[in-house]
Amino acid sequence: MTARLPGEIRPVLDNGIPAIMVTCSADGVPNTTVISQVYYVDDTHVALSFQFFSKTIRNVRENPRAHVTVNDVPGLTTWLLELEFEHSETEGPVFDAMDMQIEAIASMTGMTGIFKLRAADIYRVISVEKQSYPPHA
Amino acid sequence: MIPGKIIHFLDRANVGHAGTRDRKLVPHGHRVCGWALAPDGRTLTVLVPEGGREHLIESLEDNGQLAVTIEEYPRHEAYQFKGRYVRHRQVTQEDAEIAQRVRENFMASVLPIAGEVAVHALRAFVQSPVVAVDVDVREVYLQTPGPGAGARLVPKEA
Repeated sequence: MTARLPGEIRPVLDNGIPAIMVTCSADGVPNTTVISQVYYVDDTHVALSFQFFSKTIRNVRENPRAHVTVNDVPGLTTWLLELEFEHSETEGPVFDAMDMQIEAIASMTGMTGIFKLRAADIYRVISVEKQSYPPHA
Repeated sequence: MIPGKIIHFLDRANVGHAGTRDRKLVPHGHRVCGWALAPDGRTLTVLVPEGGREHLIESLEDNGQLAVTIEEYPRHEAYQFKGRYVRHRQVTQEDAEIAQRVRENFMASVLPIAGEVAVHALRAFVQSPVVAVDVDVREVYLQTPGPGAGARLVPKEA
């Protein structure tokens, strides 16, 4: 099953607020991590940055399913994406665009020299859900 | 079991997110709005708002696996706690006060960056809890971005 990303999610993906990714190993242990970038590839795919050899990277190569939460803080909205890892790119337009964005994010967050893109991991969107939450009373 | 440095971190951290998985190994993410470490130093109570409930209890009752990453934003210091589900319960007034403390930490850290115009959005971002989950923490990992991210701190790697 493949879902289409609505146009209204695009500015949220570009808002610079870190997203949260959950993966699961082949032996059933979940893993949560903060990710700095969810890149819109087309209306059925996003790319996530592969910066370090991490548990997340190992997990999605064992078990391709992933869950990503993207926050629109001013809009009081959270977007929940169910994803499936398809392949990894180490060159090309998606990689180059993500590399530029990563450098900008690193510069803005004091992480220059720490953030370095190794690959753009391409995921198919299985489902997308918009959750709005109320203002705090 | 959890070192003092991380216990102090839990007092000042301001963002949390949990992960579970179902019986088909499909991962699920859950917003977290508060946390508290029990006096035994290994039972972590994780507070979840309404928006984080989907798949939570059924996944935990199926396989007991839970991971939660807690961060101090925007410093990016973060740790991941992995453990086994113990129980869940409805929230109490004390839990609501814990979430309020996290909300205040978040506001104090982010308001200087976002500006007063964002005050209502930032306050709403840390939602009120509806369920409290107790987790027996078995492992703690460093999650602060950088080459050391992912190192296991508890129990220490050989």
